[in-house]
Amino acid sequence: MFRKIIGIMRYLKYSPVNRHSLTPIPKDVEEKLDLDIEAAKKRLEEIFHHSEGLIIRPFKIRTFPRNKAFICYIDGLVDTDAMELNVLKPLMSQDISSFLGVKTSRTIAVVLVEEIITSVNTFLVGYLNQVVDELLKGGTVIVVDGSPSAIVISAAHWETRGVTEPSAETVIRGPREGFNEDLITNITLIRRKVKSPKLKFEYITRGIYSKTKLAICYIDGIANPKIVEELKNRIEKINIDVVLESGYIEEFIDDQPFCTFPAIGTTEKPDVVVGKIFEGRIAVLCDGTPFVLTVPHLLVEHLQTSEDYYMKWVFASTIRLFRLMALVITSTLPAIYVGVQTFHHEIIPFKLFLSIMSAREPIPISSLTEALLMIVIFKLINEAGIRMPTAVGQAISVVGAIVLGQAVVEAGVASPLMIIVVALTAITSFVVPGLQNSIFLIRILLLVLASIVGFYGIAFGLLFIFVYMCNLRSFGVPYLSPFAPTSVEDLEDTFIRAPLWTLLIKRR
Amino acid sequence: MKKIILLVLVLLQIITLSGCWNNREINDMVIALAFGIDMTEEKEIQLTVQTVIPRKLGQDGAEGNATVTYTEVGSTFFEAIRKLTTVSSHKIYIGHIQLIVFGESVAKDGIQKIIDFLERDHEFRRQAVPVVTKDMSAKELLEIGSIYEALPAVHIVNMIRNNDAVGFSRNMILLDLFEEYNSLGNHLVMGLIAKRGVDVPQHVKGLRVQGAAVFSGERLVGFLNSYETRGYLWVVDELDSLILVVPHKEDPEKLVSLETIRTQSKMDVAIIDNEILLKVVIKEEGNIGGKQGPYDQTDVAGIRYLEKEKEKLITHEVTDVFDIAQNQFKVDFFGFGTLIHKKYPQLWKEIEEDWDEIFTKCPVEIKVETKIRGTGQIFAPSSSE
Repeated sequence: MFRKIIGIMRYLKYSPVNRHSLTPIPKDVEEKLDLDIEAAKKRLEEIFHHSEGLIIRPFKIRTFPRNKAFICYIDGLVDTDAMELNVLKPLMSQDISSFLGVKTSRTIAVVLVEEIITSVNTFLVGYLNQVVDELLKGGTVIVVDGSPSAIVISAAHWETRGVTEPSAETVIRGPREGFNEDLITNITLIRRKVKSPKLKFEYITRGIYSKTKLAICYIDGIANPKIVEELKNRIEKINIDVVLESGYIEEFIDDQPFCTFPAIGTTEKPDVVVGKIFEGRIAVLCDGTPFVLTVPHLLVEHLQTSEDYYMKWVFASTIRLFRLMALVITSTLPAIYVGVQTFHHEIIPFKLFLSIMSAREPIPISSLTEALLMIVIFKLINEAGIRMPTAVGQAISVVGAIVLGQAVVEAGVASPLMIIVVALTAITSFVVPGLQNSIFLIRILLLVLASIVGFYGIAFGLLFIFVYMCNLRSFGVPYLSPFAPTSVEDLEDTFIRAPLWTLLIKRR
Repeated sequence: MKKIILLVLVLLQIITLSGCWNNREINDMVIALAFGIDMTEEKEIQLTVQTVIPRKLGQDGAEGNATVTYTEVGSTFFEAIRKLTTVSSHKIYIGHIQLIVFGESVAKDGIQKIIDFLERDHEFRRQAVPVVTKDMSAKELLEIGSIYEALPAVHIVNMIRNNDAVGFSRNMILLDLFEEYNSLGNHLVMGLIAKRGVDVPQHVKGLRVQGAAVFSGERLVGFLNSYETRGYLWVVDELDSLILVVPHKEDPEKLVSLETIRTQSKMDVAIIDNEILLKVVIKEEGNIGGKQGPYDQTDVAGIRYLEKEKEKLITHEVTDVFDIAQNQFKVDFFGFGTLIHKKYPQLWKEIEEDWDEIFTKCPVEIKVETKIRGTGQIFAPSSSE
């Protein structure tokens, strides 16, 4: 039995820092492109067998009429208009043989790239696997008979969603643009805000099948190079078939994979990312998702929003305090209520005690059961509301309001005060959206402790949670900093937001 | 491995170190609002408890009061409380008690046996208001209903608290009672509640909270009426706001009511010619509240006159209560003994035993300073001419 526990402990220690890839990442087999055009064509058709969409069009190059050639691409990934105009048309109509000397040391492919094809992004590849890769990325490949390398014209084009306001992070004041699913668009959005060569993007491709492009983005000179190196290291070690969303990456590079607190931040807004990389953080953009990861991520970031920096600092500071209050309320209120009801009747003011008593009198279940019931009901309604089609969403909210607000009370299952407590807990949990899931667990833990030993349990639970949080790291940075370890000068952007000029002076 | 053992040990502390194990749901308790203690003729303690009926509390148009009283007799106070559980539907919860009524019978017999439990028990609320009944038992008092409040005990507590505005009865909490009961050279004075008519009234409005009950040690020795109580409160500096009524300069038939807004008094003892001198200095400030008659007396002389009258009235009230203390009850319920104990500890050791007797012979010096700060919104009284 002990061996089993030790085994579990070892499993718990599993972390990206000391992990090695369990299986080696398979390398692509390198295969030279066949000189014979028919053989090359056959080979390509063989590779793309049963995956329709590969279009191969043979044609003749005007300048070299003896050499057969074909152009191939995957339907839907390529801007065909541009191909026709900039590639096929000049190839098939221009004859430059008169300009060329009789003898040229250049291969046909090089001549074509240098003299005829007008597309910007054009290069040569020599291996079949490269050809396949480029085709899948949306490149167009021209293979010429007798040439050892193929020409790749990269003019990928497909439909993308426009730059819209993200629905999860709405603002009253501030830029409304949000990232979309296209990596290049996202990078552009960031570049437009930082016009400096110090802004670095480093590409890594992950996913054996998806070959998803990731971009690590940071400001050279502000970001800690050690953390950049560590991040790259961790991402390099990822061995996975498909990367669909940055969440896949997040789970692999987290310092504590079993921790309930988010140690990696996500955002959909370019201005947030830029703000964070200027604080020395590093962003990871992932192709195919608008959610950008930022590391290191600390607890205090849940108290901050981008809008704090766009409004007057006094108001921003006030709102910070309210957010802190909401954080406390949402994690402890049900526990305090149950603790008071079952242990500490003396501390309730007499008048309030009477009203609690009269509200509680017909309830047949214990206050712990009552609280758990209401919290679970709310969680279910919340979850249903997110997944529901918008048309049905309203029906759910009506049912939720009636079930929560009225029927439960009238049926005598929960007291009105408990409804208030749960409703307040729910509302305040939306003030710190990033922590919602962690707080949910804390809330339940404290609630159960409070029902066993009252406030003593709450105090103990909070102590436990704080000690645990002090142990957490995000890319080596203590999760609770700048509170613990305390750094007084960094506190100016925590509970309050100090005036921008003081923050900016320090940043330099 | 070590860590797991440590974690288990730490978690065990939750259970082992915890002091309060008895979790109780609010609806599994009977909430006691007031305790009434009487002495039966068989010298047993009769305990009456007024409890809340929560079902009736939140309801609109619920008839009558949301309370029910239970009475039980026991040889001791604690026994009687435990026996009450056999009548009530749940265990009685005393953490929110508002009122402690000492029946006249138990006050005369001695209240030590009650106070000991109140002090010893950890759950008992120290903010409860203690009061003594006159000419009625505590049981009778707690069975009286209230028209205005759903909980009669709350009504009674409010009546006692409202004495802050008149100063006719003592307003104290249980903690003050413990302090006063336990201090050397002092005797207990408690607020008094009595019926207005001859019969026990139906409603709380038939009661009056005026006067005070004076104890010698643990036993009741007598009652003070409203003005005597005020005299006592002047001395011990517990007055807040009150109305003083003095005669008019020109016409003694017509009365002037003066509102006191600030009072301050200081008790002191001095030894002069081997005699203990009891000193009281009272400072009072107030406004003119109302005047009968058409005379304008807001000039300096008029104000001086009113101030003098006020001084006379206060001196009179204080002298009265000293007279009662020294000649009638023969106990020092002001607490001059405590002052001697602090100021002349050597002397106190000698006289401690006979202090109450010495007290009756001590000369008293009363100094009163009064001031009138304002005349209200008008100077001369309005007249129809």
